[in-house]
Order: sequence, then C-alpha cells, then structure tokens
Amino acid sequence: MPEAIAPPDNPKAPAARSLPFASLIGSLKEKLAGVQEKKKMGADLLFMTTYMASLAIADATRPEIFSYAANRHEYISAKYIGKVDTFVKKWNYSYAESLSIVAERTQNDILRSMLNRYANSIDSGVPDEDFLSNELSTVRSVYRSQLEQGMSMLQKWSDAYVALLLSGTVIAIIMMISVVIYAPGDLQSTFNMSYGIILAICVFGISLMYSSVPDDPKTHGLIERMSKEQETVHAMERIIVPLTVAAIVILAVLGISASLIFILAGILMAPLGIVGFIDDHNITLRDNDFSVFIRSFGAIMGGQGATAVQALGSLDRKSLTALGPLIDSVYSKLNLGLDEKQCWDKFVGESGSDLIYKYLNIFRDTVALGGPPEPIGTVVGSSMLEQTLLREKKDNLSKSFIVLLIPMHIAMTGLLVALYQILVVLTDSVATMMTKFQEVAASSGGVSSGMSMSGVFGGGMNLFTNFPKEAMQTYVVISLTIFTIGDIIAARIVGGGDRYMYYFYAAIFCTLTGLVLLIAPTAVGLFFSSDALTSIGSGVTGTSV
Amino acid sequence: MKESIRRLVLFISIVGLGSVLIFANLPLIYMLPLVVAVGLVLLIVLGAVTIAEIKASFAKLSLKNLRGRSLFKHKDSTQSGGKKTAVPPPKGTTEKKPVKSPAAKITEKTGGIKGHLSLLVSSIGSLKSILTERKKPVKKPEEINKLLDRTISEKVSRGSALESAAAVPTASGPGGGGGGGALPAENADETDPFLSLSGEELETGLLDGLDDAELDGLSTAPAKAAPAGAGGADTSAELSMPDLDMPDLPDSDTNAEADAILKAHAEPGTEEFENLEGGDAIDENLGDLDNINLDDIDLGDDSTADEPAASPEPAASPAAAASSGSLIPATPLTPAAEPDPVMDQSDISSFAAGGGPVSDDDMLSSLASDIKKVKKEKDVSLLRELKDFKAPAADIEQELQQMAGQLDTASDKQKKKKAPVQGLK
Repeated sequence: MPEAIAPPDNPKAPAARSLPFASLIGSLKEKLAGVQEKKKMGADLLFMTTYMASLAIADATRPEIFSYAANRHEYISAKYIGKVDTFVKKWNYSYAESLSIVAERTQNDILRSMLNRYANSIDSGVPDEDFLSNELSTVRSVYRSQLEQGMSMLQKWSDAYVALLLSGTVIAIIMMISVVIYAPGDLQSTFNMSYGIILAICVFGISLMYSSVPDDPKTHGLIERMSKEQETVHAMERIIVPLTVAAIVILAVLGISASLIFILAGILMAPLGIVGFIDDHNITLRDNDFSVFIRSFGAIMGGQGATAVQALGSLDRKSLTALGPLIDSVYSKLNLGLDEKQCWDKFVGESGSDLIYKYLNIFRDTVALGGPPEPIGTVVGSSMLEQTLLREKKDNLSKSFIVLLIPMHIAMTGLLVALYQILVVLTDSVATMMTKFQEVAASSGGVSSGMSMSGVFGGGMNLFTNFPKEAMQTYVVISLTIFTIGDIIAARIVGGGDRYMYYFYAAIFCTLTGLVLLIAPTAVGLFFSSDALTSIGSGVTGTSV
Repeated sequence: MKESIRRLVLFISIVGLGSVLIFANLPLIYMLPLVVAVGLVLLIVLGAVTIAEIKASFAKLSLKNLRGRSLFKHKDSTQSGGKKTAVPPPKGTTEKKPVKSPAAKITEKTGGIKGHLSLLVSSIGSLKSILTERKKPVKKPEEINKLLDRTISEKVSRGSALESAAAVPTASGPGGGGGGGALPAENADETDPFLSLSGEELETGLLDGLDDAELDGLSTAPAKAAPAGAGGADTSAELSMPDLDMPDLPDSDTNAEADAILKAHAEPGTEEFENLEGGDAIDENLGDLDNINLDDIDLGDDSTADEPAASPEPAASPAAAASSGSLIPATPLTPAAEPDPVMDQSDISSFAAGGGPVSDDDMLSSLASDIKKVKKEKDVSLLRELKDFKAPAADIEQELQQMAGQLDTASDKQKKKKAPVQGLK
C-alpha cells in the first residue's frame, strides 16, 4: 500500500508569526470594547439624535440625514448609521429594511430599540422631523433615567467600597497579629495570601464601581489643539512620570525609607495634578456657560438675521464669564476675516471640552446646511443643559465620596502603621525583659519564687520574641501601596474627568501615605515606649533594670 | 518553526516554569521579573518578536520622537467630515522638512518650557480662588431636578423651539433680540412676504381707486422684506407682483378690435353648433349671470398652498372666469410658455367676449387671489447640492442645442417610420 506522503515542510517559507494567546487577547479586547461601548452609548445616542433632529429641522432629506450622521466618526453609533446608509445606497434596500437589518445585528439594547422604532416610523409614513423630534425627547428621558440609576448604584457601591477597604485593613491587621502570636514558619506564603485577598477586594470594589458609574468624558482628546492647561500637562508628564518611576525604583533598591519615597512621589505628581484639577474645573464652568451661549447665539442669528460675526458682537459677555475670553478670541479672528473653520476649531480646542466639541459642530454643520439657527440653537442648548445638570448632580455625589475617602485612607494607613509600631515596641520590650529574666535566672540560681515568676513570664512572653520586623515592614509597605493605588483609581472613577486626574489623586494619596508613615511611629512612640513595659516587668520580678 | 514544535515548546516552558515557581518558593520581588524575562525570551525563541524589531522600537523611543508624542494614547481627533489628524510624521518625511537652525530650536524649547512653567505658577496662584469658589453653596438636587424636568419636557420642534428660545433669558445685549434690524434677514429675503398675510390684512379695498399708472408702478416695485404682521397700509405700498407673465389688461378700445377679430377668425367648427336648438334659452339663462353680485360670492381660501409658483394653478382660470362673468373659460396662464402674440390676442378676445367692461376691481382681486395662492417653494436639498455650482450660459446653450437636435432627429425618425406605413396602405 502506498504510504500517505506528508506534505514536506518548506524551510524557506517563514512560519506564521503570531503572538501566543493572541486570539485570547483579541477576544478580551473585544469584550472590553463592548463594555466600554455600552457605557458610552447613552450619551452617544443623545449626541446622534440631537444631530439628526437638527438636520431634520434644517429640512435635510432622509439620505442627507443618514449621510451626514454616518460621517460623524466621533460618535460610536455613526458606524451603525453608516451601515444603514451603505445598505440603502449600495445594496438598494429601503431605509426601513436597512434599519431592521442593522438593528438585528446590534448588541446594544438602547440602540437596537431606537433603530427598530425608526424603521417602524418610516414604514408608518411618519415624517422624519416628527420622529426625530419625538425620539430626541425620548432619548433625553432615557439618558436621564440611565444616569440617575447609575448614580444611585454608585452611591451604594461607593459605600460598599469603603466597607470593603476597611475589611481589607482588618484582614491585614489580623495577619500581622497572627504572625506575632503564632510565628508561622512560612511567612512569605502567609503574606502572599494576604496580598492576594487585599488585591482581590480592591479589584472587586473598583470594577463594580466602574461598571455602575455613568461615562462622562470631559475632554475632547484632540491632539493638534487643546487648552493651555492640557498642553502643560502633556508637556510635563513626558518628563515627570518616567522620572518619578525611576526615582521610586532607585530609592527602593537603595533601601530608603518608604515614607520618603511616598512623599517624593506625591510631590513630583503635584504639579501635574494641580494643573489638571484647574483644567477640569475650567471645563466644567465652560460647559455650564455653553448652553446659554449657544441658545443666545442662535437666537440672535435667527432673530436679527445676523451672521455669526455680528451675532458674536451682539452677545453679552457678562453672563458668560468662563467662555468670555474664548468668545472674544474667536470674534476678533472672524472679524479680521480669517478662515471660519479654523477659528471655530481653535475655539473648540482651547475650550478643552468634549461637549463643546460635539455640540458646536452639530450647530455649525446644521446651520451651514441652511437650517434656522434659532430652533437649532435651542435644541442643542437643551441637550447640553441636560448633560451639564446631570453632571452637576453626579459631582455632588462624587464630592461626598472623595471627602469620605481621604480621611478613611488616613485612618486605614494610620491604623496599620500604628499597630505595626506598637508591635515593634512590644516585641522590643519583651525581648529586653526576656534577656533580663535569663540573667536573673542565671544569677539567682535556686531562688524558687523568682525562678517561677521568671519562668512564667518567660513562657508567656516567648510569643512576642520572634517578631520578624523587616518582613513585617515590607508587608506593611506593600499593603499600603495596594490600598493607595486602589484609592487613587477609585477616586478617579467616581470623580470622573480626564486621566490627568490620576496625577491629582496620586499626589494627594501618596503624600498622605508618606506623611502617615513618617509621623505615626513618632506619635506611637510618645504613648508606647519600651521603658515603661520593661519597668512593669521589672517590678513584677523584683529586679531592677 | 513548525506549529507543532512551537506548541510543544510553549507547553513545556509554561509547565516547567510554573513547577519551578511553585517548588522554588521564590519571593514575589524576584518572581515577577523572572516571569517577565522568561516571557520575553520565549517570544524571541518562538519567533514572535525579533531582535531587529526590539531595536527598532527602542530607536522609536528616542527623545526626539518622544517630544512629538504624548505619553498615553489620545482619541483620534476626527473633525467634521471624518478627517483624521496628522500622525507624527515617519522618519522618511523628516528629510523633506527644512532643517531648523539649532538656535531656533533652542529658543523654541526654552520658550515652550518657560511658557509651561509660567502657566504652572499662574495655575497654582489661581488654585486658591478655585478652591474658594468650590466652597460656595452649590445647587441643591431639588433645583437640579426641576431644571432637568423642564429641559426634558421641552417639546422639540421648530415652532416650540422658537417659543422656548423666547422664554429662555438670552444673553444678548441692548441691540440684540429685537426684530427688524438694519441688516436684511438672510432667510427673509427668500420667503414670500405675502405668505403670512391673511385676507383681512391684505386690505384689497385700499386698491380701489388706484390708477393704471400706479398699477404699472407697483408691478415694477422691488420686493422688500416686510416683517410679519405689519400694517396693511405698509403692505399695500409694498405689494409686488409675482414673476408671472401676465397679459396686458384689456382696454375698452381693444374690445371693438377683439370683436372684429373674432368675426374674422370664426372657426369652422362653430358652424356645427348653429343648428342646435335651445340656444336662445341658453342665452336667457346666461343673461342671469349678469345680475350676480360679485361681492356676495365667497370664493373661499385655496388650501393648495404647496403648489409651486412656477406653474400657476388652473384654479386661477375659474377665478378669473368668475370675476369677469364670462362662461368662456379663460386659457390657463402659462408663464413658462414663450410669448406668442397670436395667443395673447386670443386671450384678449376671450376676456373681451365676456361682454361688458372688465372692472379693475375684478382684475385686481383676481390678481390678489393669485398672489395669495402662489407660494414659492425651494428644493433645499437641491440648492445645497448646487451651492457654488457655476453654470456658464454658453455651456447651457450648447447642451440645450444638443437636446433640441436629438429631439428633432427622433421626431424625423418617427415620421420616416410612419411614411412607409402609409405608403403600404
């Protein structure tokens, strides 16, 4: 029988190079992208529906509405609208059919229901303007309820996170005391188990809070133009962050005290954090002003029939304190006759705000299409106002959580460090006393009472003699590091804002941890000293120390 | 490397390393770097990453390239239209850029650092004011809920948007917010100023007593943007004729000429009706029409407001006929048609055949009703597509000539086809 000839290996053809577990990583990335898309879809649908409703007010035809909406790549839902547009224009489906087809394949529930409703309304012959106007009202209500649900979940999970962290601290304390009492042979595995438990608790709490917090991107993330504070942060972080990491590693290897390392990290992060905090605050103020600005702008353009430049000139800056300088800047440029698109892009860039970026582009696009500025300004302003009001509501909640988190962090770290210091003092005193007892026992020889007392004390205090100070110190530092990083991430998730808020919270929590590590031993030493304990022991045995 | 060997190597390395880690009981601080190192070595051994690629990635991380990039990923900056911003240019294109002088680079660098440092100092200074501002009492949740309820319950439509825009306190200055500014409205020029005028506002009684000369003057008056609800006196002064090719108003002198023309051009077909009986009765009945008081006739509002202005409605013809008291239907006005002197004469004759002098009031009222019905409607999407579209007249003429030539050839072909068919008969 002829043998099956295996295909020869071609040594010349290079083997397909792929990273191990690449498909697993890809599927994980897809899942994560799906979770993020779900979080962002609520706000995204509000943007998209506002845009489409404004286009309808501008008397755009249905193909135009879908075409323009599909080209807004900054919206997540634009790709689904693009699919509908493709089905209609290239595959000759009707709009109703295309919407139904895309809806069937959509994972997101809110988007799917919206697409199905649109398909039904087209089938029923409802004009696009009527449907989109009603849909915008619906989406606003849905977005509000979604956010309020998220906020109530956030309130509960933030309280739960605090409880979880406290329980993590309790676990660490119990481990420490157990090590002192039982002196287990294998310390490292005990510590590793404790690290794992504390890490699991932090990750669990943070992931739950992340899933419940409604997504609210504050910054636009544009590269070529950004606010001055954002430029400063991006310029400084390239130097400061690698410097901080390098400094931490070097100082840790050199054996410098952990408190100094934490304080140094906090000080290095502080400039980034302060500038980031200021930018975050400015963006909030600008967003609050923008809804009033866009309504007035549209009203003046429509009412007076003025151009954009003239309308900007007529605007009263007194009520627009945060946006005033930006409006003056764009007005002066437009007045000089510079390119309108670039002027407005500069306005958007310098504002630094994601909401201004999206809503101003909606207004500009629809008015450029010939839409009436007044109603479009009202629609855009209302959507913007809703988002800023909900953000304000969320900020009230998050502020209370962060105000609670900071003293809780101080309390947790203080508790851990204080207990460690007390145990150190105790073990030192016990060791001193044991030495004295042994000397007394050796010198006294057959004195029964002293011998028996010293024997009892010696037997009892053996529990505190084998306290591994260095290992326990490492354990305390690592536990504090886990708690600090967890609190930084939790504060940023709840507080929101751009990623530079990580620097802000890192500066706060690292500095606090360092200060606690520095001050707590001294404070404990004031109340607990080894001399007092040894004098008690001496008094009992009748010996002088 | 073969796929099977790769899998085997991977399996052995993972199991082996895992066993070593379990039994060796290394501290965490040694274990983590060891795992990372083994992972890197595995990647190189399995061929997933080459040393050349590692070198290239380190070269990318040079200081020069870092200055052009930020530490973390940013969102793609997608402007309207979906354009992506420029990515930091690759190395090949840097050669094309003009080489800056080192002095200029240094000054730019120091200027940038100084600017950032000054901003940092000013930011720290403003931090105090921000913190004090944040301490101010913020809105209570109840107030926020009220505002949210009002915003969300706001009806989204063009008209309600206008109402809500008026309700919202605007930030406009003293010169703003008012209507009828010095500047012409962009959209108002394009809307018909007579659309919003009702029959009451359009006081046609004011048109009584107007001379023909004034009528001619009105027809040439330019259309002005009149705000809605303006006084009737103002509107009458600003009445403008729509773009219709109206025939000249018949004078009494032309009536005799029209009669003569009718007699001269009597159609042969009318002889058929000469033998019909009952014509006298018809004349008697039709004579009753002269007793109709036109003021009592309620023509009613025409609901067909969407009809384009380019094609005047056939309803204009019954209205004109009713006003003139003539049974002979007036030919429908076709402004697109080329002015035909013969047709004009027939129109004049049809007007004249109605008997009795044509009253100016009737003519004017019919004109007014035509104006009311006429509504210019623009195809906005077509206008948008034709924005900045330049169509030279020569090109249009050429295209029209080509089309005319094609139509002529098509009609000639049809005639040729018909001719042989007839010949066969």
